[in-house]
Amino acid sequence: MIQVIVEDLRSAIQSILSNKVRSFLTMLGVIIGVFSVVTLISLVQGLDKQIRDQFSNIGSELIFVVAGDIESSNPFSESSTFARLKRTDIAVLKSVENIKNATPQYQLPVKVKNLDREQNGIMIGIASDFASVFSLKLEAGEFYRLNNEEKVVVGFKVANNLYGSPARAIGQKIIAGGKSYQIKGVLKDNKGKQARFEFNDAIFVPPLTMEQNHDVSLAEIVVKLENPDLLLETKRELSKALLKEHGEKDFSILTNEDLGDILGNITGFLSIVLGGITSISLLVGGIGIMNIMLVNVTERTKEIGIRKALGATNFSILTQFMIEAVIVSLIGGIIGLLLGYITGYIIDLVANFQSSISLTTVLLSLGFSLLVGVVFGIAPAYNASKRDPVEALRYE
Amino acid sequence: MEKELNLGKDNVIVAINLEKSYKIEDEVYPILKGVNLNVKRGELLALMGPSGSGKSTLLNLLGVLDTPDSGEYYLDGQLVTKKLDLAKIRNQKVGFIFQTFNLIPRITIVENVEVPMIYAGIPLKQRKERALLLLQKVGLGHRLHSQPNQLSGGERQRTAIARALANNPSIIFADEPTGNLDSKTGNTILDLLKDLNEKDGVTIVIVTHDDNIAKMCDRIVKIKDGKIEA
Repeated sequence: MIQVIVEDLRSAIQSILSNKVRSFLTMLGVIIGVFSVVTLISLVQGLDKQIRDQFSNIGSELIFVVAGDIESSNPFSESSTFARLKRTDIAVLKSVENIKNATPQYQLPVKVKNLDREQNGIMIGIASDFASVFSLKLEAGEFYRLNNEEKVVVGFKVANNLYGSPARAIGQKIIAGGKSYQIKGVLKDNKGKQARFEFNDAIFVPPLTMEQNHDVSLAEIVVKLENPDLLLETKRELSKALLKEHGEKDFSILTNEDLGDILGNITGFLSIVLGGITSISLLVGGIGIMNIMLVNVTERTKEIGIRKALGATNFSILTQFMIEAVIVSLIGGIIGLLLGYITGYIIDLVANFQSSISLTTVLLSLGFSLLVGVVFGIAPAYNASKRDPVEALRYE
Repeated sequence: MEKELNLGKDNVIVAINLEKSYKIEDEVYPILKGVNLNVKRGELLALMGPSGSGKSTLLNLLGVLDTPDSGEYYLDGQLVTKKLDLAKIRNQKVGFIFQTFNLIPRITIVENVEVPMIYAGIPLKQRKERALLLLQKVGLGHRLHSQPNQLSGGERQRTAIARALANNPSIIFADEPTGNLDSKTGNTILDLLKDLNEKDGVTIVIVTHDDNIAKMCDRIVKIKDGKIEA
């Protein structure tokens, strides 16, 4: 048996080598299939890793309370869509043990302008001691201190566009969403970095000021912990306290890990959808293999007859052609994998990205090409094994 | 019964009343109509007959490439039926030499000679040794690593003979072995077969319609219209 399989392997390689162009064209379908699957998945996984890294930078001492039960099975349920947090919730949250501070966080798209220029921006209302939530670093000036002063911190691009440079923007007047503020600080350039918002276009305002001056609803409260080690316990206590207050679970309490997970779910979904679509090309590749193997079997009918006359069983003919199909497919898979790897590497270099090919991706793509070889090789191989030796010998 | 027919001891082949017919579009064509044949161990037998006589069909049955519709066929004392592993019987007991050589292209002649031994499960080293020995025996020791298309017709048929001998078969069937060769080359092939028969005692059945070839055999059996002529 082992002798026969070794012979099958040798014969398969010989057959592949003896017709290099045809073998390569046969492989091409699998090469393209595996290549596209590997490239897409590595990009999506890289994205996923980047998102998670970013959220782990936020710091584990923070908990986000948001409106709507986004953890429930149906994220578009009525309670999620129309749920709002109340200002009184802040006091409720603050009363829980291990809470150092809590701030409302508002967001509002606004027009930002001075006397002669304007641009689109996003107004973010947040307490100054939560600047770390977004890893905010200042280029010039300083952060506002009070929650109700009429002073703001603007993004790098806003300062450049409206005033020419960050230093010149300090102390100037700025009109955002129709209200006038004084610029107290300018953020460092955030270009090219992934973030929850485009900070370069942002204008940070004290939360109470934002409540008074603009029509905003409370969608998110950020809570800072005294002792980050008690993260999970505190999360539970916060949930209990808020549930008692609201009477139903129309809110979600998220740690930075949870946020990463939520976005991770999106990337997971993306990799399934994209992987599924590109798998179709693998299917097409498999059909290509089947087609060529059928031609191959017909062409080698005489050889099948000779081998049978010399004592080959149906099974050994079956394995011979099967192994040939599997090897073609597997070599195609390996080439596709290498090409995918190289492409990921080039994208990383060019786009300053970190794609990631996991062992699972490698095993999965090789496993899939193996499967393609088996599935699409079996029909031609079975066909070959069933040839009548007398007929096959007579074939010219 | 066994004693009567002397199955397997003196007779390599005992065929009793073999019948075979083919069905083409609901019409049955009887090809063999009760063939009786014995081949003694060590015999060199010529099987003659015009085309359409059932010669090839008989050869397919005797070579276990096919099974009869009725009748009994004993090869080396064993009754051949559909239920047996026919591939294994062919592999162990039968050697074939074809008119068109039927070597496998793209592999060397050593590898060609190895093929029956591969299916017999013989390890690589032993296989190589025996293939070498056999090729030397048929006078091809100098061409071991050539591929079939690099050889002359005579050399190809020598390779086929070496291959037929690979598993020490009980009988060799040579179907028009010189049919594709010029007469000079054909004679050397016949000499080789005769030599194998006389010196090594190999039982050989040569299918031919050449009287000169038939005359050099121990016995001539003629087949006509699906029956052996008396």
